[in-house]
Amino acid sequence: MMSALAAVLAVTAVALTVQVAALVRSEWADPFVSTAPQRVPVLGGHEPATHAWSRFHVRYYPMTLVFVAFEMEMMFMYPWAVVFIEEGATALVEMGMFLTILGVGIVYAYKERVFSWQ
Amino acid sequence: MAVTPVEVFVAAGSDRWHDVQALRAHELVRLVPTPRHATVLLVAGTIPASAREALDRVHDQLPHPRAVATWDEIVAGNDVVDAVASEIVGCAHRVMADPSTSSPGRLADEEPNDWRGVGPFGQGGEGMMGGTPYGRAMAMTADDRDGLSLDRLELRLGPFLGQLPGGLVADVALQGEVIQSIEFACAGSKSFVTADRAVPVARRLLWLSHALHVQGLDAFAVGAARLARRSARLDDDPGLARDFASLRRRMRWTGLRSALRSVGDRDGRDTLARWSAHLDAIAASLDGADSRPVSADGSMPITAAELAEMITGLALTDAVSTIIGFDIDVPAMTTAPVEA
Repeated sequence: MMSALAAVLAVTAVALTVQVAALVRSEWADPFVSTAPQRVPVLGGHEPATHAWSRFHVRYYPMTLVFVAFEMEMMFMYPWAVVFIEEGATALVEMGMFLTILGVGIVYAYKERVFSWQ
Repeated sequence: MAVTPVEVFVAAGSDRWHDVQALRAHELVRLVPTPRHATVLLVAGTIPASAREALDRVHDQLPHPRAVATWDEIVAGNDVVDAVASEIVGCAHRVMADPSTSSPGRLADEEPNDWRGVGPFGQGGEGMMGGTPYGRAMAMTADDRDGLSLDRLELRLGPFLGQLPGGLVADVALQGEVIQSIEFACAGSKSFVTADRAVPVARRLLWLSHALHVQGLDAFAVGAARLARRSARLDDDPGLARDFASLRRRMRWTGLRSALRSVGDRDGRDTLARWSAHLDAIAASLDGADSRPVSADGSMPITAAELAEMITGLALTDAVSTIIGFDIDVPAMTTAPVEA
């Protein structure tokens, strides 16, 4: 048992030594680290004034919102119809609350002109 | 014996840019698209004072160990391309044997803005957009051509960008991949930027070599450069016209036609039509018919302003294809007198 543990410790020690040696080699022993001009995107000699991080429109976002607003209520309506027979008015009120919350999303989408054809 | 070619990045002035393309034909060197891939920086032609800093930046972008060769300082015998290639290989071998001789940096190793430790997380700014996160300001939004607000990226491309003709400088505003505006640095608004004069067939083949490289067809680019070297060596090479026809035939199977069709339309002619005009002119020259200008059909000459207007609204890759399709005469463009 002890010999197996010793073997694991030995392998771990060797692995750590190799990794530390590689880190030392790359961080301190290598005379050629990248400089500021090397970290600049290649544009043929000039520097960019701004980052190349560009923000894009998430054009599927309104569609996602509308999908959630309409699809999610339908998904819950089928099992709710079964429960409604047993629970009656309680289930009706609960579903009404749920639909109201989703309805707020639809109103928001309408206000954002999601439904107007562009 | 097969050897690994030395990777070279070329910083060429407009007067030497076509000559440099002939190096593609040499088996001992390989022209690479960015300085990051290169071991040797080849400086060729006249570098104007306005491009000195750009040259220094390109130089510093080569990784160590690196070396510099200067085309115009190389004493050539019969074949200048052979002499330049030998010098490049010699430079590479010397610096590889002794990395301490690597060419030192020319620009200061400083970030463009002081950002380390600034801001709540030390990233150089406040929030997502404020300050200079990691050293540079964020691009700000502007209305694009579809009526949306997108980040507007303003760049100055050139003069040593491998895809564009040497010496050409363009101020570009991009939103996404679409060019919203572009302006070329040129001497006069009336200057024609197309090589609308009779030029040797070797120069046209060198244009073709670069154009094929830009389209990602490097093996074909090497073939065109070899034909250019042959045509420069021998005035009367009977196999040249046949080999060019063979190259042209094989080019048809590369998808080039679909890549160039409907790109850069002007007066009913697209980039594919302009390529065809170039290739027809080369074939006519090789057949010994004449050395008429490509613009003999009257549709090739274009001013820098017209070219800029034409490629505004194109994706960047299509814009580069369109620019290359015109075989821009950069020396004429940058030195043309301003007309009153």
